[in-house]
This record gives sequence, C-alpha cells and structure tokens, in this order.
Amino acid sequence: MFKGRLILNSPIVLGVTTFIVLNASIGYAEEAKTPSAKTGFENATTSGIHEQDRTDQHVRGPSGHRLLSAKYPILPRYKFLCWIGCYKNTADPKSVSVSNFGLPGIVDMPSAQRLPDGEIILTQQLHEALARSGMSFQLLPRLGVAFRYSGHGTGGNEANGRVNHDRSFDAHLNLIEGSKYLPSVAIGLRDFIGTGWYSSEYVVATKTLGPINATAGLGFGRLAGKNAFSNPLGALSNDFKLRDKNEVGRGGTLGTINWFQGNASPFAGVTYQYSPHLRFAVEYNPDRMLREANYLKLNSPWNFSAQYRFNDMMSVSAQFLHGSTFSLGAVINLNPKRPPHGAGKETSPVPMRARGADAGAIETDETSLKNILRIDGFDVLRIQEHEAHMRIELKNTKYRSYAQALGRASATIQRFSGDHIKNATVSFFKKGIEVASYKIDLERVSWEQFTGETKIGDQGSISESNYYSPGINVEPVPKFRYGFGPYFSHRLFNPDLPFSVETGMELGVEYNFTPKLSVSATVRKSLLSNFTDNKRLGSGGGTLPPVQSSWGKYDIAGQDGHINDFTLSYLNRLSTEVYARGHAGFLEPMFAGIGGELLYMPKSSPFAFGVDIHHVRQRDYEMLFDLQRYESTVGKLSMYYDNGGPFNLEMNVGKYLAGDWGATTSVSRRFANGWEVGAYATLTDVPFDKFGEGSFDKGLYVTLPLDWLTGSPTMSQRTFTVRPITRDGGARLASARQLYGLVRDAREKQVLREQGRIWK
Amino acid sequence: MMILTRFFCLYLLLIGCTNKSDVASGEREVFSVIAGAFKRDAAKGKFVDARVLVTREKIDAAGIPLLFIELESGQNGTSIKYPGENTGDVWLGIDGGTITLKSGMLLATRGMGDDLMASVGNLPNLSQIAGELTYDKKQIWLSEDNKISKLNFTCKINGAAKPTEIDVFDKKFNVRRVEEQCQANNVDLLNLYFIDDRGIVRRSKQYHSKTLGYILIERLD
Repeated sequence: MFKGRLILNSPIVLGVTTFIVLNASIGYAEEAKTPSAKTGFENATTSGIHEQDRTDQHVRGPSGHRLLSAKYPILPRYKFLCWIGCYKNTADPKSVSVSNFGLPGIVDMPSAQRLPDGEIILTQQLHEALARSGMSFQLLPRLGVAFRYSGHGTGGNEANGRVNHDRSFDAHLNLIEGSKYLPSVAIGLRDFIGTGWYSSEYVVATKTLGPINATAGLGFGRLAGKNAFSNPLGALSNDFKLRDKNEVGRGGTLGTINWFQGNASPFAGVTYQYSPHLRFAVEYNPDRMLREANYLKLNSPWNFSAQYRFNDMMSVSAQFLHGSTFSLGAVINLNPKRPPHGAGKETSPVPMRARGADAGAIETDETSLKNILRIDGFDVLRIQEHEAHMRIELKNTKYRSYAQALGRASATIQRFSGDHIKNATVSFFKKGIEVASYKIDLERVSWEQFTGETKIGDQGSISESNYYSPGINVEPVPKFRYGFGPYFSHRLFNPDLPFSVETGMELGVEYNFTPKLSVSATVRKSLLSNFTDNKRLGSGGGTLPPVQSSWGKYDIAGQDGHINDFTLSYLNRLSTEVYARGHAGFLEPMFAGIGGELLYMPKSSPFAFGVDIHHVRQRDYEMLFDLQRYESTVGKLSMYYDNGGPFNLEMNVGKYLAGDWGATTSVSRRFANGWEVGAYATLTDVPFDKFGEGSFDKGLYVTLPLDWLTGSPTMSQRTFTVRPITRDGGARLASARQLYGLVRDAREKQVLREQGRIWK
Repeated sequence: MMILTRFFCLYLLLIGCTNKSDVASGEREVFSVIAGAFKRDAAKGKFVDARVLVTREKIDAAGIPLLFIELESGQNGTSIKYPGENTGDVWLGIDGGTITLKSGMLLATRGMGDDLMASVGNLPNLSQIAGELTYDKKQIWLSEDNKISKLNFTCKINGAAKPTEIDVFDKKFNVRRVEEQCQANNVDLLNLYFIDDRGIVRRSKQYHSKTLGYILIERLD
C-alpha cells in the first residue's frame, strides 16, 4: 500500500491533487463566511474579550459548510481532506513548543500539538556539528509543513567546515485534538522529499496537564534506533514489517515510499511551562545518529532544553543534546492573522450623507468630489454623469486592499453626487488600462455601511461590471518618471556560500509615449557584494543548456554595472474580458527578446486563462548590450483559479527556456490581508537524472503586504521566493506572465476576500 | 571611518529619490514605507492634552457643538459636528477620525484603528428611558484577517429616577444616570450614560473595541 515510487511525472497528477486540496479547503473558507446559528462571535479573532469566539468555533466544528461543489458541481467533495481543512485552528502560539525541526515538538522529538492556523515559524539552530535554518507553515488548521536547510559536520570542505548541506521537507498532521480525557494525536513525515537524511515517520500523543505537556510516541525509519521492536502495523500488512531501502536518485522527489515501514522505537518527553516566559523540556530520543557518527558523540539518548520566550514573536533556547553537545536555538513566530497594528489605522472615509425624502435637495459637487478623492490617494482620470448614473475612473495609488479603495470611493461619490444620481460605476486603472469596474447602488450602500450586510455580487448593492471604455486615453502625468536608490539581492543554498548578498544603487527611468505604450530601463551598480566569492559557476551537473544555472557568472560579470532591464512595453484591454501585453528588449537580466501575452478573465468568474509566447536570446554575462548565441522560443498556456477563498491555483503548460516541455503547478494560500504563502513545482520531459541535483524545479514563496506590517495603507508588498535548487530544467522567463498579477487584486474575488474592509 | 559615515549618509539621502512611486524599486518602497511607519510610531503618544487646552470660556466662545473624547490610554481630543445631513450623528476629530452616534449611543467609529464598524439593533432613545428595557444589539468589528467579526448582545437598560449632578469642563449639569448592560455568551459590557433634562447625553462611557476598551464621550457645548 505504501510501496513503490509515486508517479509524479505527470503535471495532471499535481493539478488534480491541488484541485482536491483546493476544493477540500473551500469548506474551511466558507466557515468564516457562514453566519453562526449561535449567539456570539461569528468569526475567528484572537484574544481578550474576543476569546469567546474560539469556543464558538470549536462547538461548531466542520459541519454546515457550503462547499464549492454546491456552486460548481463538477468538483466532488473530498470529506477527508475537508476534515483536515475544516477544523478551525485557534491554538495559542505561546502554548505550543516548537522543536528544532520547526514543527510542534519537545527538543528534537515531535509532539502531537498543532500550531495556530496560518502560523509561520522561522527557526535557527546552531551547534558545533550543525547549522540548521528552517521555515514552517501551518498550511491548514490540522496540517503543518516545514522546509529546512541544514549544514552538517565539522572539518569538511563546504562553508564553515561543514561536511554537507541538505534540504528537507516535513509534514505534521494532527489527527485528534486533545480534550479533558483524550490526548492529542498526530502523525508526521520527516524529510520525505529530498535525499532522506532525516527520513523518518512518527505517531505521537501528547496530553496537557496544567503546565506540563507529556508526550509519547513511536518512531520509524531513522527514529527506529534504540530499543527498536518489530512494527506493530505488521499485523495489518506484511508490507510494514520490512522497510524498503531509500532510493532517492538526484534528490528532490518523494523517492521510495517506505513510510511507517520497518522497526519502531518508542520516544517520549515532557515540557514544563515554569513561567509565561520560561519553559523546560526533557526528552528521550531513540535516534542513534549514525549519519553523524563521524563528528558527533552520542553519549546519551536524553536531550534537555530551556527556552525563554520574549514575546508572541520570538524565543531563544539553550539545549544540551546527546550527552555531549551544547546547542543554541531561536524561533520566530509570525502569523498573517496577528497583524502588529490590528486592522490598521487610516483617516476616516467620508461619511455618507442622508439621501431620500428626509434629506434636503443636493446637487453634484464635482470639485469636492475630485478633491476628496485626490486627498484619499486616488488619481481622478475622468468623471461623467448621464441622467441617474455617474461614471468615475480612478487610479488607486494608496490602498493595497481594493475592497477598501472601492468602499472609500463609493462613500465619497455617495456624499458628493446629487440626489438624482442613483447609481455609479467606479473603474480602476492600472498602468493605463482599466482592470476592474464596479456598479454601486448609492441608495442601498447608504445604510449598509453601518449594518455589515453589504453584499457584493449580482444581487448585491455592489457588483462587478463588464463595462469598460476603450476610448479613454488619459495622459499620464508626468510622462517621464525616474527613481534612484538602493537595491538588495541575495542568493541561498550554495554549499560554499549558503547566504550571499549584494547591495548597490539602482536607477529606474520610464517614458510614457501614451498611457499604454512606454519604454523603461533599470541600471544597477553593485557597491557591496559577496556574490563574487561564489566558486560554483557551472551548471550543477545538469546537461541542459545553461539558461539559468549560469547565474553565478552573471553575478560576477555584472559587478561593474549592468542594465537590469530595458524594454518597450505595450498594454491594452482588448475587450470586456481580454487583456493584452507586448514587450521587447532586455526583458530581464539573463534574457533579451520579444513576446507577449493574452489574458481572458471573465467578470466574477473564478477562472482565468492566458497564453504567452516569446522568442528570447540569452544575454551576455556583463548584461550590457551583447547577446550570446543561445536562443529559444518559449510559450505557455495558463489557467488561473481564485474563488475568493483561501487557496489559489495556477497551472502553466508549455515550452521552457532550455527547450523542455512540461507544466508548472502553483498552489498558494491567500489571506484576506494580502499575505500569500505558496509553493510551485515544474515537471518537464527532462528526466530527473538529466536535470541534476533536486530532480525537478520547485520553490516556495511568501508575499508580505507592507500595510500589514506598518498598519498604514500602502500598496507595497514584497515577495520572497525560496528555490532549493536553481537548475535549467523547467526554467521560466520571469517576465513572461504579468497580466494576471496586474489585474487580479482589483477583481471581484479579491474584493470578496477582503469584503470586511469595504467600509473601513 | 569618516568616508564610510559620509557614504552612509549619502546613501540614506539617496534612498527613495523618485518622482513617482511606480518606478521605485521594491527596496526603496520598503525603506520609504518603513521610515514613514517609524515616524508615525515616534509621533504616537504625543498628543495635545485637550483637558489642558480646552476651557469653558473657549467652549462658550466657539458657540458650536463640541464633543470631548478620551481613550483609556489617556489620549484625548475634541470633535466637531460633521457638516451636512449624514446617515448618523457624525463627529469629526482633528486627527481625521470620526465617531457616529445615535442619540448619544455609539454607532460606529472610523480612523481609530480597531474601529467599531457598526452597532445595529432596536437601539432605544436614551432620553425616553423609563424603567427597564431589554433589546438586542449586534456590534461589528474587523477581524485580523479582514473578515466581519460580530457579537450579538442581549442588552438591558435601566434609567435612574433620581437626578444627579456632573461637572463637564467647569459646567454643572443635572443629569439622569442610565446603565446599559449587554451580554453575549460570557462577554459582559457595562455602558454608562448621563442624560440632561434636554435629552442630551452629557457624558457616557461606552465600550469601543478590544484594543481601545471603553471610551469617554462628553458633550461640551
């Protein structure tokens, strides 16, 4: 049942899998929207007076959710996965001890606790024979995942004298939530994608008794060390009795599925919360540390830890491991659902005025309307009145949340338009094109702002409109724009240089011939860099054209100053549902070319489709005006899915830079405050052994909205991408697809996601 | 060292040098946004104490409706009536925040951070309270994830028969004390109102949000 390699060579497998997870997660999304039948809080909050909400959510459980399949019957229900996602996780992060592996645990051993939904954990552990950095994410209320990068050993040839560097992925699934009499129960997989350095599995139970958490479990694989006995699961199937040998190939895949096979060893541990800040832990670790035997003394199976928590966000620990080694650790807790400044602070929107028979007759005050909108961060492009309708075209320059931008624009129109204006259309422009339009019933919203009952959609007072005006050609002011300042760049996961950074100065210029046609360029000059220390300039064992793996050569050759990009771009909305973009020039640091994309995005639909095609030629390493010989024509068909719930899906199928054909699947969890945590994988016709280390291209990304961080409205957001391996198979042209990202934030699904913010 | 310091200063000066944010690199945007946040944080807690600044003479000389608002943190300020016909009784503060009342009861706030987004129900007219009255009230906030977070309260309101005297910025008012007790699950709130014989709520202490707690509102004019 658990035997054999998982067939992952079909993008369809990934696509279908992600759809299942996506679909299953919808119930969880709808839970937050479904009004509770009970009196009390109707949505999750965190602490203090809102504490009651937790009880309410726990009482409700997963029942009563309106699944996506109700709206889209093509999608079946997957009750098991729904169960994973539907359970609302509201655990207190302070009460959950995190192990050195970044998931709930004691010291090195896991526990059965679970982290709060959406929790992001950054961990660092250091001792003489180990440097381990990790990032974990509570993907679903019951399911946590972790990625780690570890440098092992002493006296080796890699950075800091390490013998090797290893990437690994873990998963931790909470099966039973603890109660008064029952312990929490969880299972987990360690290092199940990769070279299998820590390859192991566990079943664990944890019981909380006041300040004490007592944990006991069974470990398999690497954890089946001391006091091992034959696998009790062998009673179910002979497949569990012997553990199949790990065949990891070039790493980066699931390898041999030998989970929970072979002997098992017991492990146990206790944590004691001495004070709100101080926690002690002791554990019995059956791991014989055979892989580390050359540089680590294993004198004892007992590990000890003292952890000091400064606040909700940070804790440090001192540990004594294996009876021989002192270790230091640090944990940073973040959660998109715990913004440091709450819901954020901005000046009040314009209050709506009384309308109807009770109010005096009011005429449209266009001057005040324009002035207030400008003060509120909108560029007012055009205002038109026609009988009972007002149409207003805006560029939002301040609010990341288009729900909030829409609400504020609506309130301002409601106040300063005349009584004869019964409804309005607000159109948002970005980079010269109309990205979304909304129709607003000014009479209905007058009262809805204070009832929390605003409905967005076809029957609502606010609905997405198909309307767009192809004729509008508002000149950008100013036509010439520039920016000058610092840039930062970093590289990760080079065994000789695990973390390298560069900073320098950047000049960006842009000239708009028309609102839709522009030329722009960015030049960079490095000032401080250790990119030049990189000695690994080859293709890393792959046999494909070095379309991406030669980044080290670009880093070094570009030190004297380089042209980062220099493009002529054209953007247009061709019809109500079709957007187009074309560009030519130095598209990105490593490629020049010409190409374009089309995006079909119907209003109010969760689906969008795109096609892009480019002919590109590799740029010279100096990144000035010369080109290399390698050229290729690349293109993709893309499908995007966003139903306003927590999970988004993107699939791209086509030809990649190295001439390989395949598909990329990206799944991300998008929070209603702009955070996005996602992962992608690209599988092409390049065999894993030809690809090189890592077997196929994959990565993680996190988008952090700066308004979450500062509490003040700003459109800025930063995306951090972590790619364990940069190889040539599945290499993509980074600038190929931009239309969906340009349009989606203003569209109805994102406005629905942040609907609560509409009258903020 | 001096060269390094000068370089660093020059570097800081250059940060954010742009005539339009569209062509700012991500790094410059981040610097600019975070620098702005630091400035705001530095300015936080620095406020003009309206209790010192505002006097009865000034209130009378102004001759306009004025509201005094004070948070549990001690931060305070005055608000003027928002001009025009509004959907509620809207008051505008000098910091750009608004408070909306209905016959003295807090309906909503904006621009105060963890705003009370709405208060909905068959809210009683405070000036007509005689004896005990029970009603339902729903209050709405934004959750941390930009979702609507609601509390459905059952409220009981009691008006004291005996008048009492309060002092609002050196002016005495004969008022009637009204107590509003609201309960939702295990959450209990106690709001207090002091209403003069013209039916104006001269002073009230009302629950706002989990961040700001109770706020004091006084009608000054």
